[in-house]
Amino acid sequence: MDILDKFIAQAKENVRAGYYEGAKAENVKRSSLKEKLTGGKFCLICEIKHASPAGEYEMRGIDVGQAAGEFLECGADAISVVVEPRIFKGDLGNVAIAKKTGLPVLFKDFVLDERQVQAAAASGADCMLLVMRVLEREKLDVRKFIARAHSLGLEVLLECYDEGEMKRALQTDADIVGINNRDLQTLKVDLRRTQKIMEKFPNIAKPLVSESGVRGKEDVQFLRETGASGILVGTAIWTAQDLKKKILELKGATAAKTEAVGGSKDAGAPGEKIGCMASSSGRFGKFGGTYVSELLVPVLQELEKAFEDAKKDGKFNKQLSHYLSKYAGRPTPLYFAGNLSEKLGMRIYLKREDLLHTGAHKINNAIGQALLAKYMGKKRVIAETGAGQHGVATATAAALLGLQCDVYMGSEDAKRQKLNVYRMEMLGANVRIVEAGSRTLKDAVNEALRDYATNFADTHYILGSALGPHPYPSIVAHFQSVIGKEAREQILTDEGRLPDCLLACVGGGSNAIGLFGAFLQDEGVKMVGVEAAGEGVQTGKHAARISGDAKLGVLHGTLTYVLENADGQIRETHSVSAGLDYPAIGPQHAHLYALKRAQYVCVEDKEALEAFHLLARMEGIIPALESAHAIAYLPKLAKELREGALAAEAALGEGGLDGGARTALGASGLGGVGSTTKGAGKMPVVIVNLSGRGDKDVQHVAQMEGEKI
Amino acid sequence: MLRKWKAKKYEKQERAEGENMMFIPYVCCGDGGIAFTEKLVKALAPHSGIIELGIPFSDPIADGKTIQRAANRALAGGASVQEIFGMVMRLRKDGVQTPFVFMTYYNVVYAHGREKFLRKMKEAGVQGIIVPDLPFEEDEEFEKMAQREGIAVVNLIAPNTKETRAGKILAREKLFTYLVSVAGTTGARGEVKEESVEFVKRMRRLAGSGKKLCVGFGVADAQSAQKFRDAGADGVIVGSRIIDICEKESEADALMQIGRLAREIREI
Repeated sequence: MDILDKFIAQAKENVRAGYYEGAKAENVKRSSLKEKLTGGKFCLICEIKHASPAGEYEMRGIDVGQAAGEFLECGADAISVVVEPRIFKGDLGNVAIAKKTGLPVLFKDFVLDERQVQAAAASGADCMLLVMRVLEREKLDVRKFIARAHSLGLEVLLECYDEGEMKRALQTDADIVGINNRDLQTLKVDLRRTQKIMEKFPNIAKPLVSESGVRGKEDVQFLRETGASGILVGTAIWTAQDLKKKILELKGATAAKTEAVGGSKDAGAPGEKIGCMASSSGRFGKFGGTYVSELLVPVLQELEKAFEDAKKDGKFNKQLSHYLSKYAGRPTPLYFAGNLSEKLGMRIYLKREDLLHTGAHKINNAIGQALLAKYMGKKRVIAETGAGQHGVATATAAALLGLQCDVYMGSEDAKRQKLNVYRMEMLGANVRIVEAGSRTLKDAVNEALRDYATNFADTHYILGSALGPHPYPSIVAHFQSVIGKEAREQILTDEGRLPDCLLACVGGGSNAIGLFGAFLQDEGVKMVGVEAAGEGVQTGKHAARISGDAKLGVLHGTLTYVLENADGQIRETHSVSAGLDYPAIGPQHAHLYALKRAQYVCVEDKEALEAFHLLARMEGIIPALESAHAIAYLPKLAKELREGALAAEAALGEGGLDGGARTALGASGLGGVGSTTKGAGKMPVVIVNLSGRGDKDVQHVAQMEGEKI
Repeated sequence: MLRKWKAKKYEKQERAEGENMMFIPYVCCGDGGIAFTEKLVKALAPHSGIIELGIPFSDPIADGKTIQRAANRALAGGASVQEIFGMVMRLRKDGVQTPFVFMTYYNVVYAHGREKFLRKMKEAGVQGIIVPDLPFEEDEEFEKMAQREGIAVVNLIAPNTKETRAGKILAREKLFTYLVSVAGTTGARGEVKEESVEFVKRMRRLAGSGKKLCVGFGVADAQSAQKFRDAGADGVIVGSRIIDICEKESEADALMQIGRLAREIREI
């Protein structure tokens, strides 16, 4: 039993007593608290609160209108109004009074009933507070409350007390999260609570408000440095001798120059424009950059300029589309996989990049960059390759355009993708086997970068994935964007609507970013990248970065999530698929993850192998082992989408959020509901990028499974 | 607790006529075991203007085969950042006064926390750091942090660096400026190319007389050092050659040969 139980009991009584039925405001013009918090400055939210729960003060007869006016005058960014009538002596009518300032107003109470949500909307508030612990303690579904608030046009600030709650809060649709610095047992406040929790979520994508316990300007400075977006202050204002002076003091500290240390604040700042082209400083949020030796700096600057020019050059683009359509075989079909769809209860479309010349999406980028090499007057191209697909694509483009070509390949990869080594050699490329390190893709990139730093005068490095130093991630995303552009048009033609979800495997991430790019602004389209979990994330033998245990670091010229040991040494990775066997994820994906725009999951070798066979038998398509990872995630995705649809439907249903519906949506209640539920007839539509064909893997898989061919 | 080591302030000044050429050896810490590195540093100290302590990294993209091999051996032998800091503190305690500069890749520093790493450098007695994959554009934050701890970030200039940019890099000089003599990676090379000599001359003209220019990448012996001295360099960085010697010779012979090389270069 802690203080919260007391508040909960009181809240229930307030609901029963009909307190919330009186709320009514007219001509409400809503303004967004979230926008304030993501506007780039540290925000001060001042609170109208007639009493403190710790008994520090109790005031009667506050002139709320005057106080709100003074908040505005002193530069408050928003106003919080505690409406709880008994313990906090609040009043629903105060919301409308605070609204007269034009500032965003937060409705604050211990919410555990739908009537309170309706009252918040009816009172004219812009945002309402939900307390994670209150709802969880009462076994209520947080998501449902959030959905209800959203349906009434309210934003939600979801308040947490500990790391576990924060973790769960960040998985909801709450617009803003909060950390309450008050201990519920002792009622003492400790600002380090915010600091500790923030440290656990360095790339938090939602704006965060630190609540309670701010006394003076030092506290404001302290909290600002934790990376929070703003603070909520009540007691300090009301116990100060001079209210206005106190607010001015706090406000002054929020505006103090923020030192650029560690960059926790620039981490995928919420509200940032989402895109897959780098900013002028070569970054995606805080990810990306140009971490290369001095020798390569001018070379990459020259490349960036040539790329920007070529993009605008009509002749260049005409050549590119000529080769893509007449030579490589674009557009590729978007194939409705009927058998698989029926089995999984979704409408599954495969974007058939595997049908392209050379058997994978890699040719899109290889032709683009080979043309770019010619455009820059280079005579020679080099490339790294993992599975051999990019090596073959580059060797092909080089043969086509008369360029000399060297391809670096780790000896481990050369062994498992022998056929592709022969193909490259037949195409006239010189395959350079790399024996360093783990003898895979990472080591091939190292060697290619060394070659580039030596021979840049006549050589262009055709990097094959959406990684490496700027401008490579942007170049690769540009040349692969054709995948998503086609798929978007095709699905609109075939289904008459946008898909619910996109699915693609992610090594460096070129095929995924190629598909995702065209849908980034379509908020309703979920995006999932599938990483390689190798023998299992827990075994340490894997290539799961975001979905595994990668840390923020710098590899191959870019700041992103990297698999490394405690000393910053890059770890060896493992995957049955050579193309996913790489310790870093491309910076655009790191950014999409930080912004929570895309989700990253992983599947193990054995699941990928099962999917390899599944697609072969059900659809007559043998996928590359890389793409098989995306296929392998489909059953899990089907379950997720079904559950998501149900939750949304339940939240919007007639039953609403009244007391009786409380227990309906615990996670346990979802199993097996399936197609009997109303609305489930509208099946989710999913596009999977089938980025490569499996010819190259047939021999390897057969050998692994002990069959002779 | 180890006593904090205070370096003598390293005065930057133009090498006067007749003054010795500065010899800056690069050692790959932990190659041959940390005890050997410690011995090697002690043997080099009397001959060296500065000693470059390489912290091995798994993916050294600016390094050629020799240093890659050395780094792999060191890492396979369990070399760690902590062990290297321990060695530095022992060396300082034993009275080695030569300025030390770390040379490592950005991820190593980043993984340890940049400020924490710089603070530890200061405590242990390391004066500067070279991060070959942290160019001028990307190092603003790091430079500020280093300044706060009083650590010198040594920047590099390459033959293809544009003049205006080179000027900006020179303006920031601390300890010295590292001139990358050729396009490519580190590694002992035969003859010094004419264009490398021209590059050093060009940088000397641009820098004027007040800057300390030290040349690295492919400097293997006294003859090549002589050519760079004639072009206006104040010092040379020798790395791969030292590793070559250690690979070929017994410990005693290696220390002797490296000592001889150091003396030859200083006597230019």
